[in-house]
Amino acid sequence: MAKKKKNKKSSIKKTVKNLSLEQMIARGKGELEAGRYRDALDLLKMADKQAGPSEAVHALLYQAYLRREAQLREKGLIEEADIVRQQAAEYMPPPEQFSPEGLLEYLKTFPLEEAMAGYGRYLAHNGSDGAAEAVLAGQLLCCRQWALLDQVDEETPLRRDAPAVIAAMAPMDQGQWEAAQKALAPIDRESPYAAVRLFCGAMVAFYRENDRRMARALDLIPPDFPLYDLAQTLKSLNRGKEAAQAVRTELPFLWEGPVTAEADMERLIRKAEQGNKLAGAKRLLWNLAQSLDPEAPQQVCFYILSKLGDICQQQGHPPGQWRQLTRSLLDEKSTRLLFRKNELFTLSHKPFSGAGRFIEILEQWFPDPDDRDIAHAQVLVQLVSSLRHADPLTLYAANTDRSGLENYGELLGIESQSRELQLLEIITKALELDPDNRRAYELLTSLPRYSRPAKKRVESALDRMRQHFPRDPLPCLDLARICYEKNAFRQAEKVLKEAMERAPHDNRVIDQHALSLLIAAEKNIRRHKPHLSGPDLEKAESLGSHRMALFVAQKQILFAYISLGRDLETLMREQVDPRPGVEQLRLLSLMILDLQSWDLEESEKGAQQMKLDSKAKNPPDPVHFLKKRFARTLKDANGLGAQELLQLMAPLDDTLAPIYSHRNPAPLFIRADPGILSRIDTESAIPFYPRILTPSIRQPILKDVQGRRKSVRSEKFNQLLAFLEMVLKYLSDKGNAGLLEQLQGLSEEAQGPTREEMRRLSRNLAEHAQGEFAERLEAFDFQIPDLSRQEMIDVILDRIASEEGDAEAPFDENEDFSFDILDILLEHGDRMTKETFEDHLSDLMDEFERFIDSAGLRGVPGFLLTQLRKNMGPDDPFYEEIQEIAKLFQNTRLGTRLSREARILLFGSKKKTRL
Amino acid sequence: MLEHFFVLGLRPDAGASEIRNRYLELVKKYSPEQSPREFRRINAAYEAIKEKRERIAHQILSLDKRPEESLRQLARARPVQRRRVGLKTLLQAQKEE
Repeated sequence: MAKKKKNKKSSIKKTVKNLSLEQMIARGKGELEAGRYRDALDLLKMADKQAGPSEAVHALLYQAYLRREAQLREKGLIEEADIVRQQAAEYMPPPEQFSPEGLLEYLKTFPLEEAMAGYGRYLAHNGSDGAAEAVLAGQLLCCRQWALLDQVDEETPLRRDAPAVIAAMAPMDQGQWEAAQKALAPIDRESPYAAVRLFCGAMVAFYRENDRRMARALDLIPPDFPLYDLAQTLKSLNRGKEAAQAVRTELPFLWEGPVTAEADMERLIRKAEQGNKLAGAKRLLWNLAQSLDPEAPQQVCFYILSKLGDICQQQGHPPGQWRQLTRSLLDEKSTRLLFRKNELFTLSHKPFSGAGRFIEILEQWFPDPDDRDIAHAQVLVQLVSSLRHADPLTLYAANTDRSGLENYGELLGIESQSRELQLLEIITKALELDPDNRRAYELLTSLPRYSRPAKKRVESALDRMRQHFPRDPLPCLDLARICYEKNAFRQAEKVLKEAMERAPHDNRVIDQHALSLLIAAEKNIRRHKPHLSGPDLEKAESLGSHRMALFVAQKQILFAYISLGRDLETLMREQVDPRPGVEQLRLLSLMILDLQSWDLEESEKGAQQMKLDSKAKNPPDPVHFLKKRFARTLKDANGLGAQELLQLMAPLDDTLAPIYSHRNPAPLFIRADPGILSRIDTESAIPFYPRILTPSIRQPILKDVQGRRKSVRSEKFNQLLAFLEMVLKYLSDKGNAGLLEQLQGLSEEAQGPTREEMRRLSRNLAEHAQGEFAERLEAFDFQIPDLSRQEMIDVILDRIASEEGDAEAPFDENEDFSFDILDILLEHGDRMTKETFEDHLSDLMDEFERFIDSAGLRGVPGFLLTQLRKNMGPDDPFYEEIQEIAKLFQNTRLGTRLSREARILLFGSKKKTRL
Repeated sequence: MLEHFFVLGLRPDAGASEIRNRYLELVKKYSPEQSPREFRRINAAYEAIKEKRERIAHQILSLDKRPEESLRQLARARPVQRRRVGLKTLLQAQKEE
């Protein structure tokens, strides 16, 4: 490089030798203007030699040295710059001859001592220069050599205003910007220290978090101010969240706390979402954890890693990178805990083993036994909660986790083989360990309990809860529900009385108590025991339950009509007519629904007895009479609003199932007034259709939907209505493949929230469809190829059969599962009284439900159970047994108490209760 | 869950009495009338961790449906405050830059 430079220099020399002095100066000037200061210096130095002392050449040389000095300083070559500055000083013109620009350049280049002396000389022949004084003020602020001010005149603003700035220096250095601002009050906007005052004001605004004001002040700061660059960065604080984040990153010394945490966390989340970038995030995560909690970053790491594991799991990434990162950051104990937690929640293939292994290490984690018990209970609750909502394949995984049951059965509290009981046993164990665990308690009451032992287990756990929480009415309410399931009405009432004592003003207790009395009354009306039902109804009325009031009134009318033989028309006149229109419609619809169920369900003998009971001048067909009256009342009440209609037509709550077997009044309204749906606005009507849909009103609903499509303007409603129309048409015209294609098209066309609403609608409509179409609606996918469905069945069947290598494994596996009661019933059933027969049949039902549990069939999708049923041929002995059990239900009503799985296996459909 | 400890300015292993005392101290400092936003934040954090059961669950089980959101909340939980710095520090920072 040096050789190159030398060559260049000598070539310049050779070229320049032939130039005249003027040409040399002109060329030097050109190089200076072009920014080639070194070449300019070479040329000008030669011109200086040739011309002798010349002011013009010296001035140019001075300029060239100054520029070169700045250039070197910018490159960080400070020592070289200082030497060049000394050379510049040799050619410096007397300061009094400086132009304003020259003065500024001089002041910016030379050290403050020299600059101040030079400015003193300049002042002796010129007036003060604002811009020059501002530069000097900035330098004084940095160097604090205030004594140098003695070299300038007292009246110069630079010297005159200095005392205020000197007074403000101490508070400014301590960060007391407010105090400094007060001290700087005498500084006016013309003063060379104006920028100091402005900056001080900006800092005051900064600490008051008034970034707008701060930015306004910083805007006025000139580029010569020593903190100009910082001011420019700080100004961006006012330009939105992202810019503010950038400022914090650039000027971290102005903030305390995790300055870059948000940005770092976003990076980490992105890495986890991408899945394959996590392993290299060790430093990022550790720094983040340290910034969030410098004293214990390990704990923060643990928490963040746990969440990152969740993200990987949700995104379906393999856990390899996450595990690698965890191992690199946590100690062995924490790593193990996190991995086992991960196993517990992925439910892997062995949920019981995963939970058991996790519980085992809790001892190291929680030395205090009480804390450990709480933690143990939490894991059990989490296990049940996960299994409860797990997909069928995971449930099969649980079924096959025999080693988990063997090794950790005691830790998990599992004693039995039945899946239904196992979940209850785990949750009971959780409650034993931590009786105050509300979540465990809620789970306990929501778990399925079909068999008698399951009910008994829940009952005893609730009984313990009742004693543990002496003031809480909820265990009593749940216990009462179990009593209803067992038809132990008096016991239920006793428990509810206790609930009333515990919380006499709790509406839930009052409502439940009223309901229990209605159930008992209903039962006794059917048993023709008016001396029992009358007082129960009176008691229910006296409770004053607002929610149950109309139901009590309706049952009182029913009692008066059926048991007391009162005239129906008179009853209507006395009990219904005085009420407002809405209540009249409600009462009439309830009466019709109730009497319809009597007609449908009562045996012939019962119906005859009923007629005898109501010795009456009553109409021969009370339902017809009520329907006519209902239609008339509905016609009179034509001013009803959409909300009132929605309330009246909505199906009754499931908690009322014991007293109303028919709970959908909508068909009554639609038959009485086919145009009634058009009185409801489209937004409310769309989600309402699936709630009220029955085959009998499918056509009127379809007509209403089509009518709306003609007038609807909103694209969203149009799409939803089109979807509804297609589904309704498909339900009426099964197997129309064209409609399926259209449904698929509609589902793909819908976007954003409309798509979500359509998906919800589809799921709600699924319960009105059957078979494959129901599954398609449930999955909101109308392109499921048959092959994949078959493949799915095969996969599940393979898993069932994995133990024995036979597709019928669950049945073979339970070969020793004999239905002893079946033999008794088949042999002696015809000689038994009806009650004894039903008692035995009830026990057989329990046995059959237990069989379903132990065979792992609980929760299995319906289509798979149907497939299993089909797989059994007439030669199969189990098929024969199933047929015989199914026949026993033929003349009873007990089939309604069977579980979904049992109904599909016995009768071929979840909706059938007999063959 | 960890973010709630940070909001209250507590260590993640703080005990019940420590949590309660800190909460009382903070609600005195940030009254609902003067600092309603801060008060709500403190209250929500206290409600989330006041139960021993919840704290234990936090220690061992932290599965949630929106882990990203929990992490973002964690990053925001520790307040970033403006540090009081003097002129010398600013000049030094500018020089270093």
